[in-house]
Amino acid sequence: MTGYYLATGTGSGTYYRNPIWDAWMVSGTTGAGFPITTTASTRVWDGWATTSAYQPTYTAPSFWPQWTAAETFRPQRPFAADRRRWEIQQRRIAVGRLRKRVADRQAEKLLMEHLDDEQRTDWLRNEAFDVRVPSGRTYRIRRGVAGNVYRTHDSLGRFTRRRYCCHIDTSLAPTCDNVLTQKLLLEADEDEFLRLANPA
Amino acid sequence: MGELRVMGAKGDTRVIWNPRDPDEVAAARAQFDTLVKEKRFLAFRVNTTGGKGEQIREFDPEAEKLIIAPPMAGGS
Repeated sequence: MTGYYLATGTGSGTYYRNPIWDAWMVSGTTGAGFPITTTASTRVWDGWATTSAYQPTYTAPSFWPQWTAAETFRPQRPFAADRRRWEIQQRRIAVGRLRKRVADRQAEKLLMEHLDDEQRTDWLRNEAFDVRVPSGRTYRIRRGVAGNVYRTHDSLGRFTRRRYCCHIDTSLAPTCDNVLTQKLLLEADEDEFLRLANPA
Repeated sequence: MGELRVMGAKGDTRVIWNPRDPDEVAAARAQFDTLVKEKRFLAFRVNTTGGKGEQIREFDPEAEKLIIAPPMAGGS
C-alpha cells in the first residue's frame, strides 16, 4: 500500500501520491501567494453536491437515487412475508422435534411394558438387554436401528459374538419401536429374523 | 377387551374392541387386515403384562393385546 498511497521524494520526505489523493485534494495558492492544499476539489464536490436557486446545496441527483432506490423501492410486504415464512418454518421444525420426542417416549414406554424386570433394569442402565430365544441362543439388543443385535451365546451357552442387521424402517416408527420389534421377532420366529438379517 | 397397538412415526395408536361386539371386532379386523395383509406389517400377540410374543397372521378377536410393527428388512 505504501507504494500506492505514499511515496518518498527528494526534499519533501514522504508525501501522498495516487489518483485518490489527486482527486480529493487540490493545490493552489492563497491570495497572498502562499501555496496551499485543500480538500475543496471541485472534481469531487461537484459529483456529490450541487446547488440550485431553491436549495443552496443538495446532494447531486446522480447519487441520491443510487443511495435511496434500494430502500425506497424495496417492497416491504415481501420482506415481512419472508420473515413470517421463516418464523412459521422454525415453528414447524420445533413442533416436529417435540412430536418426535413425544413419540420416542411413548415408544420407550411400550418397550418397557414388554421387558421383564431384569431386561428393564439392564435397559435403564445400559440401553441394552439380553433376549433368550426358544433355541437356547442369547441375543443382546442395543438401542439403535441397524446392526444393533448381537448373538452372544449359542444354544449350548458358549460365548459367541455375531452382529446382525435387521430393522424396521425408522421413518415409520421410533427407535424403541424398532428394538421392541426385534425382540418380539427373535422370540417368536428366530429363523425368520435370521433369514431377513444380514450378518455384519 | 382386546387392544391393538399400531406402531407409527408419531407414537403408537391404540384400537380397543369388545370381543362381544361384532361391529367393533369387524372394525379392528379391517384395520389388522389392511396393515398385516396389504402392507406386510408384522403382528404379535402378547399378553397385557408384556412378556414373550407370538407372531400371528390372522386377526384374533380373543387376543388380549396385539402389537403391529412395520415390516423388517435386513440392512447392509
